[in-house]
Amino acid sequence: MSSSRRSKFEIWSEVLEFCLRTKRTQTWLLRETRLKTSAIRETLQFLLSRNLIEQVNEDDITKYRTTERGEEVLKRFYTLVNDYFDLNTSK
Amino acid sequence: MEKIKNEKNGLIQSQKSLYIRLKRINQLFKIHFSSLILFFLLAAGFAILWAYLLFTGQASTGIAQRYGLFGTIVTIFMTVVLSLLIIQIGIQIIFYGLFIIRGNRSLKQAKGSKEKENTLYDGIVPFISNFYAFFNRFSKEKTTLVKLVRTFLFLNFFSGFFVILLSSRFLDPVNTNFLINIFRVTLFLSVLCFWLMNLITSSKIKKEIVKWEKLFPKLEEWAQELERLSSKNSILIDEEEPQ
Repeated sequence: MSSSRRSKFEIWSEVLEFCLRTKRTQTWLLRETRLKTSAIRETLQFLLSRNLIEQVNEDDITKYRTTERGEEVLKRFYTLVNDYFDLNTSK
Repeated sequence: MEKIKNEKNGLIQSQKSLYIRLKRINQLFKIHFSSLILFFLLAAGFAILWAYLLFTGQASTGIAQRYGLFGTIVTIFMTVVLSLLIIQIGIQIIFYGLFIIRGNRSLKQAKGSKEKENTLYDGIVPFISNFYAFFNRFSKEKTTLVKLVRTFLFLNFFSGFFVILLSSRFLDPVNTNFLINIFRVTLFLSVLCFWLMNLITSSKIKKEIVKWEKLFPKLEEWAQELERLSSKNSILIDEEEPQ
């Protein structure tokens, strides 16, 4: 990834979550994730190639939406954090 | 259709429990931050009172009369420790401030996005990212965030302990008027109360940071899993893709 200060899991999970409820444009994601244009393009390309987000064209505007597969992957992310804390609390 | 609905519900459920957990963590940081600010203000008030008593000769005279040269040394020591206490609390306020502002913003975003019972949250991942950024900012080769928080806890304990011990033992001016005496006692008890509160929240935060320190590598593993994921294979893979 181009952004050296942020890790992959942060960027990917953030984009997946942002596109979960509503379709988002690249500009919106660029503003919210505070990434460079090249980094957000790279991220979107990566997630598209893994079929985790899909491209939707609305009035000649390209938007992105998390796919079912992306939802599943994101759910695993949440479960990972939840399970980790459950495990540590029960100790 | 039913399956999709159930999957969506599962996602909402995971988000909900995580949101509650993150909210609790954020609450802990907020309590700690508030106690730091109040402790800072009280310590500053204590310093002003101490300076007033010193300049009017009500503190040092009493101590010097009772303990001689030792009293003068204690007066200097008390002044130094009190200054150190104020400085280190000030540093901690700056240290936690930015993190709390960002964390609050993420959780507000999540709360705002949750208008209906069965809708999804925004802002959970940004909170985790904020924690990760906070964690990374202070984690260098030699120091880690845990070490830094431990140092703060240590400084809080010792500087607070000496200020409270010395002021309870020596700040006993017989010449001051009744109002100043009441003010002194109230201030002393408040400093003691917030010092204890601060120690409790500091140790809880330390425990929390230790947990997060161990969690982040697991999230990195999650990212590696995504890298291994192809557009066609199953949703989650546990082993390496054949080359």
